[in-house]
Amino acid sequence: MQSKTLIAAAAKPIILSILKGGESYGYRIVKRVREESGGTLEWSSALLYPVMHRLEKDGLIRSKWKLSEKGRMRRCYMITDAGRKELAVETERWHNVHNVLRKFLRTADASA
Amino acid sequence: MATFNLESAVGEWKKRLFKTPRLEESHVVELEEGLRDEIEDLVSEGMSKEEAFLAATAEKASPEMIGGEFHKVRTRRRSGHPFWAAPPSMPALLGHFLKIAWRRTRRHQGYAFLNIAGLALSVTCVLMILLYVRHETSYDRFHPDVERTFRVAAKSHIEGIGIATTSSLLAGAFEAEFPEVESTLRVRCLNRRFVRIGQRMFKETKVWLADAGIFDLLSVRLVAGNPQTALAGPNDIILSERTAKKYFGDVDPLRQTVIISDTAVSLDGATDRVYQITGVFRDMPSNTHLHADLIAPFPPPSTTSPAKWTSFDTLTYFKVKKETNREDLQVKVQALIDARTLEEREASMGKEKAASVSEKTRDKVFFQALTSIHLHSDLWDEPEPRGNVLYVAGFSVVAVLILIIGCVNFINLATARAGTCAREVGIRKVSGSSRSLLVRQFMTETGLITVLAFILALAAAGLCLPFFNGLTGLRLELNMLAQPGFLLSVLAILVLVSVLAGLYPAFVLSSPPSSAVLKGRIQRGSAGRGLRKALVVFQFTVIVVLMMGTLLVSKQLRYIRAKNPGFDKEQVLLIHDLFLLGGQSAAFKQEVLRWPEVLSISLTGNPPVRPDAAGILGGLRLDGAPDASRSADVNVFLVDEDYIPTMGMDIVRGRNFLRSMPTDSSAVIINEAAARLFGVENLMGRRFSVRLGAGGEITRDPTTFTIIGVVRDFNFKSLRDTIEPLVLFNMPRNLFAAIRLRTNNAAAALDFIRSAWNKFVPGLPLEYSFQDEGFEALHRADRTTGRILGNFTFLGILIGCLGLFGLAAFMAEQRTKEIGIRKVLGATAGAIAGLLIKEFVLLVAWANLIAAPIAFILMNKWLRGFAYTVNIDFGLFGAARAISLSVSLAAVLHQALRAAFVEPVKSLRYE
Repeated sequence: MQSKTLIAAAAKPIILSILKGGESYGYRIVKRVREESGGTLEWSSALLYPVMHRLEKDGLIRSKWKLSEKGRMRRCYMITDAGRKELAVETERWHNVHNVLRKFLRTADASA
Repeated sequence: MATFNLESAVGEWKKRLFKTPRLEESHVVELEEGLRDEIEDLVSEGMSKEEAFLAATAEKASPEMIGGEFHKVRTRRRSGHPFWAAPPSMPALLGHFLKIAWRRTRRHQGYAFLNIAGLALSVTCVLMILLYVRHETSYDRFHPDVERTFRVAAKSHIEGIGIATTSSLLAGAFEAEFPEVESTLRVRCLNRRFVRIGQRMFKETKVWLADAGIFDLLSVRLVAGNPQTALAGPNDIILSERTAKKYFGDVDPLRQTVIISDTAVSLDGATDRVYQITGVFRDMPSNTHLHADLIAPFPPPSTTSPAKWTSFDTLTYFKVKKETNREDLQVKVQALIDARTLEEREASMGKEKAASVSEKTRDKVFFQALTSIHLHSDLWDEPEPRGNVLYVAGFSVVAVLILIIGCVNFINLATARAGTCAREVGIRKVSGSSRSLLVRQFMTETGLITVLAFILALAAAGLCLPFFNGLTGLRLELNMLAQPGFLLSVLAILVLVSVLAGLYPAFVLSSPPSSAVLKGRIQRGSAGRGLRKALVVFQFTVIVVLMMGTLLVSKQLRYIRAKNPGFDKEQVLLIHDLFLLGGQSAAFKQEVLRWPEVLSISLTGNPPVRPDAAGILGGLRLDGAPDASRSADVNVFLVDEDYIPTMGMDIVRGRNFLRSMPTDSSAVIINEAAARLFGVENLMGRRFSVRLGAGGEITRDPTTFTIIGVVRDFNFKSLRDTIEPLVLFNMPRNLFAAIRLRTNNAAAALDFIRSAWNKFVPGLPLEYSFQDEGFEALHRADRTTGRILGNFTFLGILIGCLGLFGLAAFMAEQRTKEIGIRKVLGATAGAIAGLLIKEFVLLVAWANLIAAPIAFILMNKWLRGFAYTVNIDFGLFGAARAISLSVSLAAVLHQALRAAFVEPVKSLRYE
């Protein structure tokens, strides 16, 4: 069980890093996250789209309508240069948080 | 079961998304694509299409939420709150509803006026009654720990009369014997004292002797002085702020000296007591059962005349510790009182007699919660007049009824108008409004009208309050409205009214199917016609019942006023406080008799209009009567030989007291009721012995009295009561002088009497009243009820007529075309007016029919409280019928005539 704000905060770096590996679309991103997290991180696909739109509005990703193999319209997203830079910053930020957290949580574990 | 169709399911799902503002087509397409991807994925994992669809949509957030999220991406608002949704603090669409409601209210001003006026009138009534009820039920709730504070009272062995007072010894025994009692308080109310400050003299009626426990139990708050010491010394006294101001103006009252005496003229100063003021307390609020202006300490036990367990002269209050069982304590107190009384009697009359007397004269003790005293205590020796719980209940019912009458108006007018807004409803439905939205829309409209009506009603209540206070003799203030509890109840009523008045119309108005409305298949105004009629009948039933009640009360009171009470109450002047004359009352009597217009004058303790003054003598038995014969409890009047002629009473047997017969000092005259009670044929010359002294005081040894006459029964209590047995003793008292005047020129007589009074006691206040006023005062409560009822009835009629007026206007409008056709075909204006009038007058006639038995039952119940009553006759019902029919006629006549005289061309062109 994850807190809502944590999911929201983590969404940006996750999406950006997925897109860094090549363009993707809504459902595939959700599925990817589910697989990579082993099912512990379950995104609501409906709430993914607004996040994608926000990233696009911020200029971190861009989108393109393409025809899917089934012949349906599909909106594909790809990372921009600004997105790559942002990802680097985010990665740095999360590493910092991760390191600090690891230390604190370990001591918390030990003292408990 | 229908087979699952994925395409249509997805289609439905999309429809919901499209309904959401701010979800653009591209968003929906994207969302759909994601959904289909997921479904395909799930199907490939082995789910059926239906299962896959449900699973995929189940975890999707609601369309509104998705829309909101998309909106957040685009908005520049910092909160990201979508503009189409109401602020989180407001129900959705409230602002829109209010706007529409306001527009509609303005468009139909006449209708809105009728609604608002009717509701405001009824709410005004309700507010007034609520204020009254709150005042009556708020008595004594402000004392500290009031739920643990009680008063001791007793049910006397004499006729089971309840007595508010107890022995002054009880409080001390309480503290000594019962650890569960936390504190006690003794109060003795001295009903009349004269206070001298320097050369000035004041008559005071609210003087208490009380323990210092008064600061703890009754929340007497000192604004000057120290509660620890204020009543510590025997000569300390504390004053109310009001009294301090009256005595000393702006001078500091502390440590000033006042002299208090029983009588104004202290010939020898024997009763004078000098007090020093040690404190000033805040004036007591009106909602407490006893008020004081001066409080002096309770006197220490006297050595010359020790307090007795058998005397009832002290109000005893006590506070118990938490979680004390009241019933247990009551049993223990009863046992204590029984034991102490017996001991006391044994000491004075010997063991055997004491046991038998105590057995016969056991008084039952009970406790009264402090807060219950005002409404629920009906006892002797109550220091102040009490409220009446029946009035509180009765007026509450009237309030509810008037509120319902007001709401009925609203319902009727709203449903009658259903047709006029049917088209609007139809359009709204077609453009996608749901029924629940429409209901909310109409409820908002009701709410708006109710709020407007409430604002008006609050203003009206403020304006009417002085009038209402004059009517009831209460001192209600509008600032009671500002109390949170009261505001809450007003708010509750507001919501109740909105729901009561608005819910049904809202459902009726929103009910027609849009297609039918738009095709014009809905008959305008037909919705709820039966209900409307039923409601009008109900409304007028209530009104007619109220009206009959009012008529009956006024008839009964007229009857009482006109009834011969057995004495001539006219042209008798009562001079009060005769003891002020000291020993000169006989001389005063002679002086007054010199005025030629004075027929006679009697010195007495008991004018017949002062029922509280009558004493009661228990266990009277004629000498020589067998032991088994009835012993009687009788009322006692102390009079002189001029009493019966002055009062204009009749002697039916025997004779009056004679001045020339010295033996008449031990003679008595009884009334017919007493004669019946003794049940002996010839009573003249029969004797009985009672322990009554020449001054009317209780003595140790009995005196023998001889019956010399029987006086015709006269009412010496209110006409609610039957005439009780009464014995008149020939013992003049210096309390009242009853003066019968020959003239109606009371002013001249009064001038003369005042000059005579001033000859004897210059400077002392002369207090007087007229006997007929006193008689009226006995029935004041009933008269007040009558007047209040009358006013509320009038308002009820007014509200009902407002409703009828509105309905008639609507009906006339609705039948415009019909009237036009009738006129073209030759109907006269009279016939058409009759047509419209008949409809309403019939309803009112029905209401009369239903009201009659209800009113009859209620009126009988009320009349049962009176010993002498008028008959409930057809005149009463006839009058109510005539009034209700004529006012309802008046209400609809205008509309009917207007409709009848319209030119048929106009009515046919209508629409």
